[in-house]
Amino acid sequence: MLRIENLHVSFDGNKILNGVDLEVPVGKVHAIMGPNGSGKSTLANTIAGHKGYDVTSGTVTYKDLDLLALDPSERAAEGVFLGFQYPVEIPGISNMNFLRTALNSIRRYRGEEEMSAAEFLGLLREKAAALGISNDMLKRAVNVGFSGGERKRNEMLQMAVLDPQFAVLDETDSGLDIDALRIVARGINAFHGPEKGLLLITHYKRLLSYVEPDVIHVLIDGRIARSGDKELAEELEEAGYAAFA
Amino acid sequence: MTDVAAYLDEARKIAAGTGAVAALKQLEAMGLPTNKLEDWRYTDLRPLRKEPFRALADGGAEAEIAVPESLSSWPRLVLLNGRCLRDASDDLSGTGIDMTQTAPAVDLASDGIEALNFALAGEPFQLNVDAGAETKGLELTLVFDGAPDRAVHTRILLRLASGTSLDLWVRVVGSGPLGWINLVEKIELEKDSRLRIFMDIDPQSSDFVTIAESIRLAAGARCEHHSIKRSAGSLRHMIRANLAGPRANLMINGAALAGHNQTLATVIEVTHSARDASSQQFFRNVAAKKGSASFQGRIVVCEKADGTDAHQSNKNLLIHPTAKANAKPELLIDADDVQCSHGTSTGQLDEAAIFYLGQRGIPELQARAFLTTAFLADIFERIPDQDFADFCRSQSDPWLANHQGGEK
Amino acid sequence: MAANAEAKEQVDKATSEYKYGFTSDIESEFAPKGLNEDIVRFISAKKNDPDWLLEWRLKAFRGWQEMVDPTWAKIRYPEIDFQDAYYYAAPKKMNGPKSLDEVDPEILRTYEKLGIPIREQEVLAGIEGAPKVAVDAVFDSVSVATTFKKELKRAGVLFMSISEAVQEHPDLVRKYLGSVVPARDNFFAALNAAVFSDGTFVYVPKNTRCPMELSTYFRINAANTGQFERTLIIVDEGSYVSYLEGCTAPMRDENQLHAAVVELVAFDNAEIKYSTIQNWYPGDKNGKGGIYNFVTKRGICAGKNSKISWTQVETGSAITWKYPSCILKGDGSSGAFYSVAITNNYQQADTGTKMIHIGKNTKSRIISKGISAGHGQNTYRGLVRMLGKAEGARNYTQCDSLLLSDTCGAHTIPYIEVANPTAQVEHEATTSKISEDQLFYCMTRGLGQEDAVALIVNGFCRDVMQHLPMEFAVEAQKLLGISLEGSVG
Repeated sequence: MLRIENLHVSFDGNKILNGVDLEVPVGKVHAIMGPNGSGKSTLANTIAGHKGYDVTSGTVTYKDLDLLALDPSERAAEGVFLGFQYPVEIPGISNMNFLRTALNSIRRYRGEEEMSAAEFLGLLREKAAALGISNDMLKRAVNVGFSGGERKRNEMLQMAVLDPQFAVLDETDSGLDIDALRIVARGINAFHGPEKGLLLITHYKRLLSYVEPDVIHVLIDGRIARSGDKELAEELEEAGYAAFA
Repeated sequence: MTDVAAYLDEARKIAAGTGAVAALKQLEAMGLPTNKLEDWRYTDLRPLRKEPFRALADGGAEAEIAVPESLSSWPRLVLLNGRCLRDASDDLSGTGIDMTQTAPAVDLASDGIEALNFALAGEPFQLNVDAGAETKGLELTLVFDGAPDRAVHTRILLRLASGTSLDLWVRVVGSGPLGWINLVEKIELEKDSRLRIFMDIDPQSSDFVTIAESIRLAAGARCEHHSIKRSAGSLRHMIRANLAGPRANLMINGAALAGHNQTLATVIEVTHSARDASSQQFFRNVAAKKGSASFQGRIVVCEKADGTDAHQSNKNLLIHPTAKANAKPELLIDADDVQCSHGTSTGQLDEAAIFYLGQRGIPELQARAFLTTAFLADIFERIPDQDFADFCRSQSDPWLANHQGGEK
Repeated sequence: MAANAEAKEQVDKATSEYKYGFTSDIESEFAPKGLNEDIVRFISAKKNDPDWLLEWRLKAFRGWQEMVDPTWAKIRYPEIDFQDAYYYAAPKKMNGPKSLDEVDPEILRTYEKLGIPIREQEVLAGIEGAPKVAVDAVFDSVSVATTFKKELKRAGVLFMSISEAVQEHPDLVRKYLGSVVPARDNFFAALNAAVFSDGTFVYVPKNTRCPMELSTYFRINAANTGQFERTLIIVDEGSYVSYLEGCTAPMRDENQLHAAVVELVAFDNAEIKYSTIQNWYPGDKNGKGGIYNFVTKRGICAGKNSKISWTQVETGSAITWKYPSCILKGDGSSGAFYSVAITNNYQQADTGTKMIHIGKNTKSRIISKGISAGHGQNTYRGLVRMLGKAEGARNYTQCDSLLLSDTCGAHTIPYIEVANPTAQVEHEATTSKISEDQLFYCMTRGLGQEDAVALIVNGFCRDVMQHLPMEFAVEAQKLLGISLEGSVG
């Protein structure tokens, strides 16, 4: 579903990714683990098309599409979703308005009809309820004044409403207490299915006891240092990243 | 700079009455403002450097004016160049609002341009809400029309008696090419009265627009001033408010849009001269291609004005590489038991937010328009009159759409 | 109100009990009173100026004669009679460089009383274990001693009085003098250019980290004398210096004028930290006497990624008029201004900064803390200007004012001018009296009222104080009369 080959990426003139090779087949959950500064967020932002990240060589192919040739909104419309590590505050735009605009933009791109206000509201309420998101949160400006847990739940809500095919979740588990983590994990598991692909980026193995990955990759210094099954997470926990460097 | 003498010569010929003569003396003493005067620092005074604008002699040709549609649900008065157009106006009898036009009082002008207004505006248009009157609202539509080399000086006085209240729409509308609109408004709010102003400033193709409002609030008086303005060639809007009585409350809430090659200066001075009064200011500027927007906001707290609570927030958004913004927020505090603050920020749209919207499927141009609208959203949400809030949105959305082009 | 009275006492302690108000009995040589071209020539001759410098002074003087005092600041003072002052006062027996043995013992005792180490074996303010600090001591119009010159010279650093620099390194001085603050920049800068008699010169060569803190102590002693020093600091590519200045003066009933100029030049990747503790005599409780402090300080970040920071603690002077500024010309360069200003009794301070962003990705940060007490008037005045080419420039400004009496004033007057949309400017300011809630909270936790006030005022100033070099923070702490609860910085 997503194939990354020999990806080199610089940020602010510094080389961050130094030849990443990765393939996530449809229906699978892959996890990327790595120490701070290893390039995890760079990988996520590059997949989503952040302008600041400069792809110096390599390819990213998503369902036969050259993902790197698309701008961020086109990638989103093609079904690629990024769950942000630090979701951005957008004062002045309500969560609800934001999501409806996004959903209809994507539908327009796909040549589908826009969703009516009533239909949208029904969908939103259903998805929000499953994630324990209150009406009040839907009316508030996007992420403004949200707690860390609320922001991550809001990311899950957006994923549920926009219903992408491939999701990259960048440290969606960081900064969450155990209850919030359970809710977020529930959101991820509800999303996952045989038609979907999922790339989890995480620092700790905590999330992986709720969402079981098929493959774990260890990213060190901008390269995949090792790949393996979930046993690898245990090994990491004991030996630390240093052992893989 | 055109010499003040040119204006004085003309004004001496026209000005009549003791008030006008006194105003001329003030003009002679003060001269016309320059950018060296702090309160005129960011006003584009180039129009004054051209040939002097001659005063429009007789109110203009009434018949040819297309009076804009009424926007509010209130009775309406239409003034053309400061004079009432009876046919276009509603009958105010029974509304509790009293309307007169009498000889100007001798008043102290704050600058040469106001002095010129005092000298040439003729009889000020006065509105009174007398004690005990049951008043709801009024739409005051001020239409300006003339010729590119002409100036119209209009002066309006409004007084609310103790305990009365009024919702007032004020619309400043340019109806054709006009050199200079010079509007002076003086508002007296007596004890415990309440005024809400909804002001639309849309001078169209006018070259130079100067609007000076002064508001005096007695004890317990409350005033909300909401405005939206589109720029002219050069537009300056000054609001001076004095919270002269204890427990008075003032809110100034506005959005300003500086278009192509236009400059827009907002100058606000809020003076707390009595105890326990509060004031809030919210101001947003958007500047487009070669546009320039500036905000000068001063909070003055006089000695003994303890218990003052005064806050000000200003944000400026630049939507084109050639747009400019200036801000000069000031706190001048001479009392000690106060809570005062100001905050101002200037910049372009947040690139992180554009990426975030893009990642959720919203294309970049749409994201920019969306975020620009959001930039003004809290100003419009603060407007308690739904009609006016909707009107503001209906004005700003197309403006923003028209001015987003050439962003990068 | 009781709490405010306590807070006021704290400030009183810092500003009223002026410990440095003694006079030293030094035999001095004066230029004749008044100011004219002959006086300029007299000073120039005394300093053995080269011709170009005399010409430069005369040009400045002629410019000055055409200028008028600036009136835009929020300060009030009687017209200064520029003819009723001495423009040159030098301790006698000070002809040419001397060893300390030859310096008038009374001068040495003065510095001893001030706690300033002008012998190399001494340390600053008698603090044991403090690192070495090189000192240039300027007494009235001339430098009387400069320490650690040899050690610094081994590192390639030139540290000397500007008079010596004019003689020993005329090319450097000629190249940079007036390059940041031109001779006719403003009324007081022009006056300084005409009559400056000493000051400090620093040059740090390429890729050199200056091995110790450099400092200058300015002391006005003689009566009716203005002090006009000029400081010039040049830091070459990849180098670093931290420079401190301290100022004191005797208590006198007359006002005395101090009009200094400081110029800083930082090349590629260079960094200059400039710190000031200004404790000139502030005048008495009724506003009598005190120094009029009109100072022009400006630095240019000429090179890429260069840095200049100004940190100031302004507790003295009857009038303070100073705006240490940064011209951010090099791409990626950054400027900072950290200021604490206290005005008590009848002191007036109008101080702030200018950050002029010219280069791309330039950054500036302004933190200003004003504390007003008594009848003090305290004004922050600042300009942040983003020029059209300043792509990606950033500024953040925070100005807070604390009011400790109902007869004082606190004013915040920032100017923000942005001509590049990619630039981002944020400015926030607050003014309030000391929080009764905070005081109450502290006191329920067992603090006495005085300690609580000290703690809160300390917290209020902390963002600035932490930028002072350690050695200086101790002095600043004493000066503010507040405990700094542990380590600073």
